[in-house]
Amino acid sequence: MELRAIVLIAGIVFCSHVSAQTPEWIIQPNICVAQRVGDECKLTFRIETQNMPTELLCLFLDGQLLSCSQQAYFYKKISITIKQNVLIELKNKAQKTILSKKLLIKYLEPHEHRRRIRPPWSLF
Amino acid sequence: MYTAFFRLLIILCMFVSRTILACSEDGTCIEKSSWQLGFAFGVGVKTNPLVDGDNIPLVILPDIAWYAEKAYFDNGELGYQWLSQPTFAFETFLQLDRESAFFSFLHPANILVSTENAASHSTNVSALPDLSVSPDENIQNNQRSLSIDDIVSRKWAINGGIRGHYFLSIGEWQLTLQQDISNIHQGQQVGLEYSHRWLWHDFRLGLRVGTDWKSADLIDYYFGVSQRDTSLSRFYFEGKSGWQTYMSINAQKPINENWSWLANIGYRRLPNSLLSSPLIDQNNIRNVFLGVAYRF
Repeated sequence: MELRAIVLIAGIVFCSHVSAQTPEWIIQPNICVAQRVGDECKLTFRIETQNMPTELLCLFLDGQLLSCSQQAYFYKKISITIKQNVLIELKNKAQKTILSKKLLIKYLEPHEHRRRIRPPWSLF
Repeated sequence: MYTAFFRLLIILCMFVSRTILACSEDGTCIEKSSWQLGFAFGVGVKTNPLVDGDNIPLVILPDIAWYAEKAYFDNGELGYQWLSQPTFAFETFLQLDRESAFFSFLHPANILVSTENAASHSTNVSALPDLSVSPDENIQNNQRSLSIDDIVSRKWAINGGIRGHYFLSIGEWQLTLQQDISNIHQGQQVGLEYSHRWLWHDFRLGLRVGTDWKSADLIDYYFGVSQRDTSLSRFYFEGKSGWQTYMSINAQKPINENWSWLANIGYRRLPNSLLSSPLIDQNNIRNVFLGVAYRF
């Protein structure tokens, strides 16, 4: 009985320890607002990280290198210009993705529509 | 047939609210620089006015459209819209002459279901004309008829056209001019159409009423009979210009985001000048379709 309790407690402590070591990040803001479809959108965001491995980690935007930092400590804000949703990834030297997140673009003006000239499903 | 249509129209006007449809609320609008694809599955038929022409079963109706900023392709029509304003619009376009659809089952107009139809035809030269009766009686009695399998095939002409739109809050007027630019028959046609749309709960209803004037060159090329077709002079017929009036009603009820119920009914009357052609068996074309539509 005592042995079971010890194993259980040890398991909980181990799991919580492992959980605490999982790399995490917060990217804010992660949505860029443009006027209309096709417009470029400038997004300036900051990255807060936790539990990063002690190695050089690099940021990639849709596969393009943005910046590198020891232990992913990006103390300056990062500015990018996008025309569509993009994927930002944090990779280590071995190109293994540690974290990733999609940065979204939204539009103030909805998609432009045109009237169709011929009515669909019309028999004449 | 006309009486029934007008009765239905009056009923619609009485019971259907005059809700104005915003562009994005129904399938008559399309996002710029995008495709709109759809298929309708169901049961229906298009009648064939030609002698011995089989009616066309309507089972699958495709809907294919692409619209850019100005250019567009819509169910067989390739065009460029020069002016697009809330009240007016104006475009030029190219399309296959839909009259030739009568003579070829594989004509795009029979696949993209925008207008009159074509069909296969059996070979038959029937009895001699009885000149003592009127053309209408001739048609009813199926006399002096000539199968299109016994005549020279009619080529597919390409029309160049100009179309103007005048938009009202609850309807639209269209004026269309077309000219054969492929030098097949060198004919012209002019169309005037009024269309009206309603939104009643989630029912989308559309009504189109119009008339097309077709030149003598056009009608004579397709429906005239001369030495090019037969040596039997009693079948000779010279086409004259005339008016085709039509009316159609379209109803759609969404089932979910992609599927909707679809019903169509249409009636087109052929010009009186055409009724004595030995190629013509009926003085009208009727369409009816009931099914479900899927929008990708």
